Amino acid sequence: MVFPETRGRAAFAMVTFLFWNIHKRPLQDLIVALAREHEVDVIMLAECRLPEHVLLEGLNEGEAHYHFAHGLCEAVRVFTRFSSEFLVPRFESDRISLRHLTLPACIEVLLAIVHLPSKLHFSEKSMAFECVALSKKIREQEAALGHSRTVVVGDLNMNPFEDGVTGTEGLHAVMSREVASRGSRTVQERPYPFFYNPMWSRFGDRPDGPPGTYYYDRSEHVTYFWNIFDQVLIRPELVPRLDSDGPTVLSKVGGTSLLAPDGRPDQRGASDHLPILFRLTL
Amino acid sequence: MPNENLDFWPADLGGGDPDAPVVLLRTQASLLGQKVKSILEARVSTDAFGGSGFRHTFELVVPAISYSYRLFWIQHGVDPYPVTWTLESQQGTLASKEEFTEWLRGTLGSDRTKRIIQTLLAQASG
Repeated sequence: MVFPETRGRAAFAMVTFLFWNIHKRPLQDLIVALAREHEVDVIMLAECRLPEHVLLEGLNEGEAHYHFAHGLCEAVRVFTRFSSEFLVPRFESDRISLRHLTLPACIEVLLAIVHLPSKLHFSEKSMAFECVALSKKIREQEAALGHSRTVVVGDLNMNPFEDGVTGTEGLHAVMSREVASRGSRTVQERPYPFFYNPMWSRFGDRPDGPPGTYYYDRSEHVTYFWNIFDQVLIRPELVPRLDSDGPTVLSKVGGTSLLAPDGRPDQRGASDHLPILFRLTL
Repeated sequence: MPNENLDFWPADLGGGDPDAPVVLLRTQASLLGQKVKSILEARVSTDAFGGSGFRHTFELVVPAISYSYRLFWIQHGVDPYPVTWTLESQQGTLASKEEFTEWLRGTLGSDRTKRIIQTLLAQASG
């Protein structure tokens, strides 16, 4: 963690988060390299079949920093560069882990780490309903904790424009900081809080990153080829604390590309998903 | 005194359907607390779902550490059956009370459920 400024008694730490769906592959060397290169504080992995000790041995080679942050959600594994007692699970299911991040002298954050079901198993309607349930749980926890400084991160298996992500009863995540800054909107006399979804601006050809996080070429009439299933959603209250670079879709680790020669995620050398990195000043 | 001729409601509304899935869920939820001395609780929450049905979520709760784990949920329409269940990213449909009872027996008695309960009990007593 980086402590860029101190005001009075409070220190504001820059906390670095990494999420990666590693596609059940033994990518410990790449994960360790990513963690070192970007000084990651919270590593969140989906489809991780690596035993915890294998990753910890790599992450802590030379100097012991990282801890395995236990949870009952088997879809995501979490490692922290601080004691795991500061990242306590509050609610979990087989696909969702809501954890309260309470670093000393920092503001508290609710971290929702998710790997929602694949479209291979769930219909689009069922996916949207998953988001409704997730949204309800988040709001319950926010009410219990007394704040709404929440970050949702993970493989949603949906694009930012799909109903479960954008709908009021779902995650209600919008593409614009300005819109999100309204806090909430009322539809049919019911208020719905916003998330800001910075991943919208990571779509398509850009000079500084790949066109998405996941490539899927399906033989049907409508296909997007590049998708952004891996996302970071932030409550408006936290938006000013998001690093100005915003979430970054990583396409290389050191000198190693995570892309195959055809420019798509290298499923053989790495994963079919690309990792995302973001920083928050807490 | 209401005029009986203007009361169109059935006289035998009763106290709810004892065979409804949610009744079975609540019964099982209440039994868990007795087995683990209320260190761990099972709770059933109900939402109106999709405009035409109900979703019942079955959670295990550890009050001492403010933690809950969603074990599964079920959905049904205005009629209590068929029931659609969602568990570990799998879904299925059960046509009758008998099928639902068997599914519930298998789910609550599974190794997975036992392992989760044991882990939660350890957390609560740690």
